[in-house]
Amino acid sequence: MSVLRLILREIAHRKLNFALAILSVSAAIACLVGAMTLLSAHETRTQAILAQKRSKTESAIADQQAVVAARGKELQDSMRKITKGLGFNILILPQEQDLNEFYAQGTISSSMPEQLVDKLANSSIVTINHLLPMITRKIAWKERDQTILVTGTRGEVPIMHRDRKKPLLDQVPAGTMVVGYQVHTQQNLNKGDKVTMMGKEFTIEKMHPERGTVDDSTVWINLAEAQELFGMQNLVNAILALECNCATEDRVAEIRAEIAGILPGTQVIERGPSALARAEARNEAKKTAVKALEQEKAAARESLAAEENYQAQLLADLESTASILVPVVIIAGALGIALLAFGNVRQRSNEIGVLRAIGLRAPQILWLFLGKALLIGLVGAGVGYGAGFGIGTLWGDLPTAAGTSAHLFSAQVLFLAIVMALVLSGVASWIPAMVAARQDPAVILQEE
Amino acid sequence: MTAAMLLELRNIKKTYRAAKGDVSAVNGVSLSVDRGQFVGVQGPSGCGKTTLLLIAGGLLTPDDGDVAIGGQDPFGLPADQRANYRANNIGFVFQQFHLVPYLNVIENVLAASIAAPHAQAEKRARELIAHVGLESRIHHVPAQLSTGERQRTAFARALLNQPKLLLADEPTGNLDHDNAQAVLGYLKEFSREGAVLMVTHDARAVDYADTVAQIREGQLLQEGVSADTLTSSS
Repeated sequence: MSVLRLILREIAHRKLNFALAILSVSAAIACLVGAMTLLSAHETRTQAILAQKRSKTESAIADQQAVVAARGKELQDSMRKITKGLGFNILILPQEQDLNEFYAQGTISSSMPEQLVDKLANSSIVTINHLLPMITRKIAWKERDQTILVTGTRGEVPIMHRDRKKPLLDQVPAGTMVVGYQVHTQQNLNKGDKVTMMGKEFTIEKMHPERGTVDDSTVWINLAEAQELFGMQNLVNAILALECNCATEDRVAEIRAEIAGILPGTQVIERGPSALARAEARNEAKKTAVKALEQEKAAARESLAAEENYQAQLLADLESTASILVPVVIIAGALGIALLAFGNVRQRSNEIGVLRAIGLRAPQILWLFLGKALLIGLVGAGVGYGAGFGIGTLWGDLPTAAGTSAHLFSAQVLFLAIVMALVLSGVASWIPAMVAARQDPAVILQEE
Repeated sequence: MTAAMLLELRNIKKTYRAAKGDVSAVNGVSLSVDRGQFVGVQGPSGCGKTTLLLIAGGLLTPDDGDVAIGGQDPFGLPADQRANYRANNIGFVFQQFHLVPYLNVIENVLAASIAAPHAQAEKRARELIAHVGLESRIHHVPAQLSTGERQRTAFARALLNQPKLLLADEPTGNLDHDNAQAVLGYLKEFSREGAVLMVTHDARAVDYADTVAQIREGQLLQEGVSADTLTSSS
């Protein structure tokens, strides 16, 4: 016979007392574990919701980014088409050239060394492409009785630091002539026809369709031949260029600044503003798309922050409720255990008296009750953990995406539940056990 | 105290304090019990018999006087040592049996071994149960036993640790004639090796005692008692 056997036999005899004590401990532990599991489930659910929201947001942003990319590509394509359609829309002229003459009469009387174009081609210029040195002169085509604009070009000069690009304009071979619409229609010219201009014979190489510009009254010949015809060896009137698709805020100013650094003594003008306005519109469309993207991102950030705040508020509410409920239930559980233990002591006073009389020491009587309390704590911890985990899992409302509830299991919480149950049961039973241990057997035995 | 003397009470006094006035339960009692002696103390209810027995068993501290059990003053020992001394030297038999209700017969007998464990406890418990005729009831709990069987179980428990002194408080108070005779027979039998002090108001019981003292209002009377075994200082 031992104290433990005595405890087990007493438990078997007074099952209701034991069951009620287990219930008290279990309720307290279930409340504690349930609260912790609920908080853990909430954290898991929050993470899942936020992850889902982030995913949706990222998807929306990606869509918006695709829109922006599409707008950008559209803009690029548009700019490329526009600038290509415009032809050479940048004109580099000698500094002394009177622009009034150029705008009013369409002629350029000043000239500059042809080598400037090579200097430009060998520079690291980025704001323009497709350099085309040219001579232009309005003449009366005496052989054909028509006033025309003669443009001499030597073909595009490649910019050395860039990949070679397909030229906008092919070189006009020596001895040939490319003619504008008004010229070939009025003169009834066909490809291959031989014509004479300023005493020099040319073969019609190409005839342009109607452009509706000064090009319709222009003929193009080889630059060297033009220089010879006009007595301008090694000189050019202008360098044509195509502005790059840089889509910057102030293109012309940037082009002017860059060229001024390379070719001082020149001036730069831009042609074709209406076409560029369309490009600007596209640019605005891209800006709008970028702005929409930023707004989308900002909205996503706000939405995520709002969700996080909402979940944090829910968590705070849960914690607040738990911080009140759990201690209350634990105290109620402790009181329940203490009352049951006091009742047990009172019920067993004769037993205690006779056990003391036959020689059991006070510590043995103490352990008779504390040992029972520890058993109650152990069993209560198991039952309470199971109940609390079940409640927490059921009420935790875990999203399917979060997986099974198995990952909510925590060995630390189980350990805490066991320790808490043992402490709760032990502390609550301590005073009744002390009362039992201090009972005077003589008083009890005299009461019979 | 002689070598044969197992219990000696000298000029024992015990007063209970109460709101309605003090009650003198034992007033100057002196008594000794030798090995091999069965001493009976007879008196009416409330005369101080049980108080005297509890003092003799080291359970109730007297206000005055000396107690010696086997030459040892139990009240001079710390509480745990006194309990240990009681477990190894004194057996108790009570009128109400005081069996543990959820233990069966053998477990109740073995309960005494919690205080004084020994290897042969179960064997001795079975022998004692057989001796008191309860082999067939060995796994029965008190509620399934008759009053006589309960008292026999209590008697077996009292003897488990082979005490030197047996203290019996109205052991036949709740028993019929046959069971009372049987229990008194066991006490008598034990007194041949050890010593028995029995307090009772049952006139039948005194027939088994070697000497009998009469107690009235906490004092032993001279009449009908052996001068060797009891004296009164009053």
